Amino acid sequence: MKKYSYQILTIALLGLLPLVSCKKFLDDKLEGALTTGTAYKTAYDIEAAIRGCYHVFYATDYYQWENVMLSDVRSDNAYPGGNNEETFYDYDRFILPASNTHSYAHWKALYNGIARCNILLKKINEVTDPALTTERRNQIIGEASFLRAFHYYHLVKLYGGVPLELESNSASPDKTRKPRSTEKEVYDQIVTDLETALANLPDNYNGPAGSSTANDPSVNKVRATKGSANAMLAKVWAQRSDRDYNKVLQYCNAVISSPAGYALLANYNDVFDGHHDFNSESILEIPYEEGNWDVSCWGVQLYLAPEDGWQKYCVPSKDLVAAYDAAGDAVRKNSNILFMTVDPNGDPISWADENWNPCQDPDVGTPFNNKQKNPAGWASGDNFYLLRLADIILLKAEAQNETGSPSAAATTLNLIRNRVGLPNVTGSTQAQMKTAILLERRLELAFEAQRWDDLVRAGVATTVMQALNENSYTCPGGVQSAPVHMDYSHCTQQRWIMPIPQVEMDANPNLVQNPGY
Amino acid sequence: MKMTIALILLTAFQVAAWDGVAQNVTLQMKQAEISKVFRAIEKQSPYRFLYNYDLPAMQKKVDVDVKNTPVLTVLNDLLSGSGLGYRIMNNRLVVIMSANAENKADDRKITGTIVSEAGEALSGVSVRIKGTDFGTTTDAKGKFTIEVPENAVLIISYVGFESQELSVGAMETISVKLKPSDNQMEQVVVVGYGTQKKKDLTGSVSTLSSKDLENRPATQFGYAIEGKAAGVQVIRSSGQPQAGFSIRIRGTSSITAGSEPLYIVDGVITENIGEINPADIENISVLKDASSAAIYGTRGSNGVVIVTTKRGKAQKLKIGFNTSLTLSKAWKKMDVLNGSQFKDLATEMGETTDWNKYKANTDWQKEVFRNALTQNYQLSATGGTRNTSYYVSGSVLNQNGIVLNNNVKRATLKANVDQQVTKFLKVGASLNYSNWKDRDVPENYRNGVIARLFTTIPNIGIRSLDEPGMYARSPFINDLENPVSTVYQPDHLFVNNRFYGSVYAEAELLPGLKVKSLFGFEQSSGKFTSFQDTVQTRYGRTMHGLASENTYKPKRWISSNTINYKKQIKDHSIDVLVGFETERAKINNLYKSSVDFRDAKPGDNSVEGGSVKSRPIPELGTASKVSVLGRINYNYKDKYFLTTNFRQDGSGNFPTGHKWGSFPSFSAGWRISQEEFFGKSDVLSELKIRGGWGVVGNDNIPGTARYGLVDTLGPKYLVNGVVQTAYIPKSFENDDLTWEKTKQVDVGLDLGFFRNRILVTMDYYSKKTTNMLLAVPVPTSTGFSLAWDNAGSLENKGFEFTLSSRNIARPNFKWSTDFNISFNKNKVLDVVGQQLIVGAVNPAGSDYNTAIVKEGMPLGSFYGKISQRVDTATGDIVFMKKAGSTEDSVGIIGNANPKFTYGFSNSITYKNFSLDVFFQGVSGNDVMNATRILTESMALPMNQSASVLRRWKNPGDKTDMPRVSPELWDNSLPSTRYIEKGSYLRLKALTIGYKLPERIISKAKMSRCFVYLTAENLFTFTNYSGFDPELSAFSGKGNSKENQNAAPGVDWGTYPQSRDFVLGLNITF
Repeated sequence: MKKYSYQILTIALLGLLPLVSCKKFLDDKLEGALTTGTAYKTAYDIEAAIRGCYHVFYATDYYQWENVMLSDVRSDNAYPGGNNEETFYDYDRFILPASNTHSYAHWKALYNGIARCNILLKKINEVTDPALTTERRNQIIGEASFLRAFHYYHLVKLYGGVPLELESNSASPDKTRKPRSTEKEVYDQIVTDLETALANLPDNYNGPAGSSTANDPSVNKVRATKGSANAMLAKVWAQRSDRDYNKVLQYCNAVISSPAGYALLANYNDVFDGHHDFNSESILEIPYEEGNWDVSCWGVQLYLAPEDGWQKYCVPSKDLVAAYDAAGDAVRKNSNILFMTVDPNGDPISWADENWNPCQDPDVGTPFNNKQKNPAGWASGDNFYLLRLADIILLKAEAQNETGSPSAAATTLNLIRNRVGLPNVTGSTQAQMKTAILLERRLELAFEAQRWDDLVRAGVATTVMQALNENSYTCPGGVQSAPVHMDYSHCTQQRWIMPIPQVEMDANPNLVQNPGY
Repeated sequence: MKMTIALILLTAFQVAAWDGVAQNVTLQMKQAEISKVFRAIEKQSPYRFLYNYDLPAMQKKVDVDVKNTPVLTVLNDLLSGSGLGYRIMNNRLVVIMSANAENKADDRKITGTIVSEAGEALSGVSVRIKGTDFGTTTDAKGKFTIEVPENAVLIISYVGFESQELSVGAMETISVKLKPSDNQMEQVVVVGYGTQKKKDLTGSVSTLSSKDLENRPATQFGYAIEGKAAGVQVIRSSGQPQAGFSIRIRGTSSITAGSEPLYIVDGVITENIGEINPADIENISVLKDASSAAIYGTRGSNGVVIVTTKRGKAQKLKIGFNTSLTLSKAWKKMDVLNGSQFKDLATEMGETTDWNKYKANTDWQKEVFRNALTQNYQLSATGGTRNTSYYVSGSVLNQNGIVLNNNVKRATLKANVDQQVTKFLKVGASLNYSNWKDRDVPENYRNGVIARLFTTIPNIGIRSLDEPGMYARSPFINDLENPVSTVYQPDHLFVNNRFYGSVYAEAELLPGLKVKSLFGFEQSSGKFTSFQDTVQTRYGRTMHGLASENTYKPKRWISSNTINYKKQIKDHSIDVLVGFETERAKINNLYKSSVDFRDAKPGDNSVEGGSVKSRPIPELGTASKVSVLGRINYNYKDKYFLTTNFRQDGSGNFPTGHKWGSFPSFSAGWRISQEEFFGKSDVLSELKIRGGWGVVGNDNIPGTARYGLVDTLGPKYLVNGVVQTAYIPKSFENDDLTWEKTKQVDVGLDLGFFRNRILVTMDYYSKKTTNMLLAVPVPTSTGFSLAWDNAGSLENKGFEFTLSSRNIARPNFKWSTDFNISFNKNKVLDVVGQQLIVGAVNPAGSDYNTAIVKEGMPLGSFYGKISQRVDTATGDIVFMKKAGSTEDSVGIIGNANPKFTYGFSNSITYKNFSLDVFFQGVSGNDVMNATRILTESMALPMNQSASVLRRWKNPGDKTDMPRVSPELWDNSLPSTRYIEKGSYLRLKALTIGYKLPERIISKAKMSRCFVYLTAENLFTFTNYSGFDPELSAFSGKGNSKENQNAAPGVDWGTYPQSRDFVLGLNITF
C-alpha cells in the first residue's frame, strides 16, 4: 500500500488538476463585442443605439444612392446607364423579376433599419440609468418612431402592403413568418408612429452647447424633429391611396410656420453645391463628411464621371433635358445636370453612351446627374436631403389645388419658380395647376428620389412612361445606328409596385406575390 | 465530473490492494484436478501458474480445504508426494514441473539475437514464454536474455513481422530471423487514445502507413490519402499548391456547420494540417464510423484523422536524406479564339475600335502557364538506447505552381524524444516548428487569373503600348487587365510561423495499468498582405494604390489525461480507458486596409504606407472544451469482441444549460474463423463480422453564433459635426443552441484468404444528422436574414469495399494489389421547409446561384434552367417552360455527388526494381462548368472559347451555340447547358524505383539508397471539357460553410491540377 501511495497521489493530481472550476472554464466570454443582452444598459448605450438607427443612411445601398435610381430611373428622368447592367435595366423597363438582387437588398436594408428601431423601442423601456432623462427618453422614442415610419413609408411605396414587423426579437417561425398587411394598415402604422414622433420630438434640440443634442443646425438637421414629423405626415397623407389633402395642407403649414424657421435659400445652386450643409431649407438630411469612410457617401461616385472610367449610372434622359429647355429653366438644368466631354483627368470619356453619344464623338457631351457634386474618390461629403422645404412648399401648392384653391396654389408655386428666375405660373384651372405643379416638382426635385412617387400620386405613371419617345443607338462600323425605341410598354399599373423579392417569398411561405408578377 | 475522480481512485485502490492483501487464499474443493486448484489460486492471488497438462500427475484429483492460508503453504501441501515440484519466477509466476526434473533442469538463462531478413538487428521485439505474461524485449542490438523453465516455448512477436514460436529445447543461445508479416490482421492500428490490432477492431478504420507515403513525394499529406481509403474523399479545390485539400468522410453531414474531419496529430487537435511534412508521418488512421469516432464525441461526426509522426527506437543512429525534384506543367490547353476570330466576334457584337492598335495575337495560356520546378529536401536522424530514443528532422520545400508567381516555401523542424526515466515512468516531447510562405494568385471568380486566360482578348500584349508602366487592357472593357497583370497585381503574400507540439508523461503503475498525461500546444503567427501599386493597373491608379493586411495569431492548448488498464484473465481480455480532457483555443485576427500611396515612401507596400486608412477590424474569440471519456474493449478467446465508448463533452460555443452533450457508442465483432466449427481453412483464413452504433457530435460553428451581436465599433453617425459611435444589432440571439448530432450504424465484414494474404473489408453504413446547426433563413422582415438554430436533418448511406492482396511475396519478387471503392448517397431530409440557394457565380455583376439545398434531394444538387436547343429562327436558347406557363422552369438539373469513387494500386518489386501504379477515379457525378458562362455567353466583348465559332449567325442555322447577345445574359444563366459529366479515371501516380545494391552502397556506409521517377497525373480519362475534372471552386477554406458543403463540383475559373514529373532520391545511413 505504502509503495504505491505516491503513485495514487500522482493520479489523483492528474485527474484533479484540470477540474479547477469546470463551469467557469466553459464560460467563453464574447470578446470585442456586445450582445443584445448587454448593449442597452446605460444612457450612453441608448444614445449610441439611436445613432445606430440613423446609421442605416450610411450603411445601405438604398440610402447611399439606389433610392434615387428607383425613383428617377424608373420614371422619365433618367436612363439606368452603367452599361445597362441588367439589374437596373430591368427597373427602367418594368420587367423586374422577383429575383432581382437590388430589390432584395432594398427590402433587407429597410427592414434592417426597422429592426434597429424595434429593438431600441423595446430596450429603452428596460433602461433604469438615471442619466437618461425623461425628456431625452421621450425624444429618443420619438426619433426611433419617426425612423421606423420613414422606412415603412419607403417599403409601402415600393412593394405595396408589406408585413408589419414591430418586434424583431424572435427567430421562431410562427412569429417571423408574418403575412402581408394591407397598404392601408401599413400607412396607418406609419401615421401612428409619426404621431408618436410628433408628440415626443422637439422643434429644436436644446441640449448643452457642443453636445450631440445641442440647439445647433448640425444637430437639428440630422435628427428627427417636429418639423420632420410634420413633413412626413404631409407626404404620407398625400401619397396613400385614401389621401386626405386637408391633412396634407395642415401638416405642410405646420412645417412652413415651424418655430424651427425653415426658409428657402435665395440661390438654388447654393442648396446643392456641397458648401451649405444644414441650411435653413433643410428639414432632415444625411450628414456626410468628405474622405471619412465611416461617414461619407460613395454613391455619388456612381453618378459622376470621375477618373475611373466606369460608365456611370442614372444618366439624365433626353426627356428631362428637354423639359428644362422647354421651361427655359437654365438655373436648375445647369445645377442638376452636368454635360462633359472629357473626364476630370482631361481624358475623353471612355465609353460610348448608347443614348447620348453612341460613337464617342469627342465634341458631344454626355450628361451626368450632378445633384451631389463632389464624389471625392468614393467618399463624398455632399449631404443628401431626406426632407426639404421646397418639396413641402410644392406639396402645399398641390394640397391647395386639390382642396379647390388653384389660385392660392399658384401663389405658393411661384415661391419656387421665382427663386430660379422663372415667371409666375400661367393657367388657372385646377387641372392646369395640377400639371404645372407636377412639372415644377420634376424640375425642382430631379434626382432627389421624388419623381416616381409624383407620377404615381398623380395617377399618370403609365401614360407618361408609355408616351415617352426615348431611343438608344449602337455604333456599328463607326456609324451611328438607326434609333432603337426604348420599350416602356410593360409599365402597367400593376407594375407601379415591385414584386416581393423571391428570397423573401422563399423564406416566408405566408407571403403572397403582387399580382402581375 | 465527480464520477471521474471516483473511477480514478477506485482503480488505484484496487491496484494497491493486490500487493498488500492477497497473499493468502481460502479454498474448499473436493476431488478437483490439481490444475483446477491452480486456477482457483490464480483468481484469489497475483500468482500465475505455468504447467504442462500432459504430465500424468496433473490429472490427479485432490481435496483442499484451507482458510486464509499463505499460497506457498497451500502449494507445498498440495504438491508434496504428487511427483510435482515448483519454482517461483519473477512476477509471481509459478512453474510446475515434474519433481524428478527439478534437480536436473534448473531454470536457465538463454540469450538470443533477433534480426530481420536483411540481417538488421531488431530492437523492441517482444520475447514471451508461451502461456505466461512473462517476457522481455530486445535491446538496440537485437539481443535479449531470458530465464526459461524446461520445455519452454518462446513467442517472438514484433509489429510488422510474423510472430514465431520456438521450442527452446536444450539451446542456450538462439538466433531468430523474423519474416515481414503478410498477415495484415496482426497489424497494429492507431485508434482514439490508443492502439488495437486490426483483428480486434469492431469499428471501421482505414489506415495508411509510412510505406504508403514513402515513395510518393506528396507535398501535403492529404494528397497521399486520396484514393487510398474507402469512404474518404479528398477534394482538391484547386491546383494551386497552397490550396490544400478538404476531406469528406462518408459524405457531407452538415450544411452550415463545418464538415471537415477532426485532425489529431500526436494526440493534439489541429486545424492546420497542410503544414505538416508528410515525410515525418509514421501512420495515418481514419476513424470512419461512429463507434470508432465516438471517443472524440465532440467533433467526431465528420470522422477523425489521426496522424502519428515518426519516433525513435532503441537502435543505432540512422540518418535519412530524402530529396526530390519535380517538374510540373499544365496537361491540357483550352481552345480560345485567336486575334482575328475575336475581331470577327467583336464586330458581330457591334464593337468597334482602332484595330490597328490591337494587332497582337497573344496566347495567354502560354504567357501565364510555365514549367514549374519544385525542390524538396528532408534530413532526419533517428535512434536511441534502451532508455532514450529520438527522431529529429528538418525539411525544406520550394514548390512552384504552374501559374507565374505562384509558389509555396515551407521549412519544417521536428524533434520527437522519448525517455524511459524509471522502470515505470516514461516521458517525452514532440516539438515542431514550421515556416510557411506563399504567393497565391486569384482564381475561382470572373476576374481570377484562370477566367482571364480565356476572356482576355488576344489582340493585346502584356504591357500597354500607350500608357507607360501599365498592363495592357482591352479597349472594350476598361478596368479588366490581362491575366499576367492579375498574377502580379495585387501582390498576395502569406507568411506563417507556427510552433506546436506536446509533452507527455506515462507511468506504468502496475503491469497493464498506464496513466498518461499529455499537454499539447499550438501557436502561430501569420500575416497575409496584399498590395496593388499606383502605376500598373487601372484600379490601382484610381485608388492611388491600395493595401490590406490580415494578421492571424491563433493559440491552442490541450490537456489530456488518461488511464488505461489492460488485463488478460484466461480467455478474457479487457482494456479499459478513462480520460479527462480540457482544451482552449483562441483566435486573434486583425484586418487592416489602406489606400492612397501617393505620399508613401517608395517601396513601402505595407498597409501603413497608405494615407487613407480604414478602421482596423479585429476578430477575437475563445473556444473552450471539457471532456470526460471512457472506453471498454472486451474480448473472449479472440472470438467475441465488444467495445463501448462514452464521451461527455462541454463546449463553450453553447449557452449555459446547453453546453453538455453525451456521445455513447457500442460495437461488437465476432471472428467466426476462430470458432472450432469453422475449422482451419487455408483458403478462408479470416472471417469476422462487425457491427456498431454510436452518436457523435459537431459544434463547428462560429463562437458568436448564439449571440445577438451588437456592433459597437464600426457604425458611426455624424451629429453636431462630430463622428460619434453608434450601436447596431447584427444578429439574432439563440439561447437554446446546442450540439448537432449524427447517429451512425455500421455493419462490416472482414475476410481473409490464403492465410490472410488477401484481405477484404466491406462496410455498410447509415448515418443521420439531426438537430443540425443550421443558419436558417428567416424572413428579412425581421431585420435579419439568418438565424442559427438546431433544425433540420440529413442522411448519408453508403457502402465501402476494400481489397488488399499480397499476390506474390517471394524475397526477390513481390507484388501487391490494393483496391477500394465507395458508394455514398446523401439526402437532405429537412431544412424547415426552406430552400437554400447557394454557390453563386457572378459573371457580370449579378449573382447566379448554381446549387440548391432542398428537402428530399442530395447536398450538391445543381440548380438552373433546362436548356433544350438553340432556336433556329432567333439564335436564342429555348428553355423548358413551367407547365402551362410562359415562364422558364427552374429546378434541379444535376448532382455533383459521384455514384462511386475508387482507387486501384499495384506495387511490384523485383529484385532491386520497383514499380508502383496508382489509379484513382470518380464516377457518375455532374460538374457545373460555370466557366463556360464566361467563355460562351458572347454577352460582353471578351474573348471566348473556340466553341463559339459554331455560333448561330443566320436564321436557319442549326447549332448548339446561341447567337451573340451583347449585354444580354438570358442565354447564359445557369442551365443544363453547363452541366457536364464529371467522371474521370486518372493515372494518379506511376513510380519506377531502383534500390541500389547493398554491396555498392555499403562502401558509402549507406544502408539504403533508393532512386525513383514518378509521374503524377500522367493520364486522365474523362469527357469533361474544362481544364480539369478534379475541381470544386467553393470547397476552399475561404468559402462559406454552406458553399463548401452544398455547392461542390462547380468549375468557376478553377486552377487546374498539373502533370508532374518527379525525380527522387532516398538515402539512409
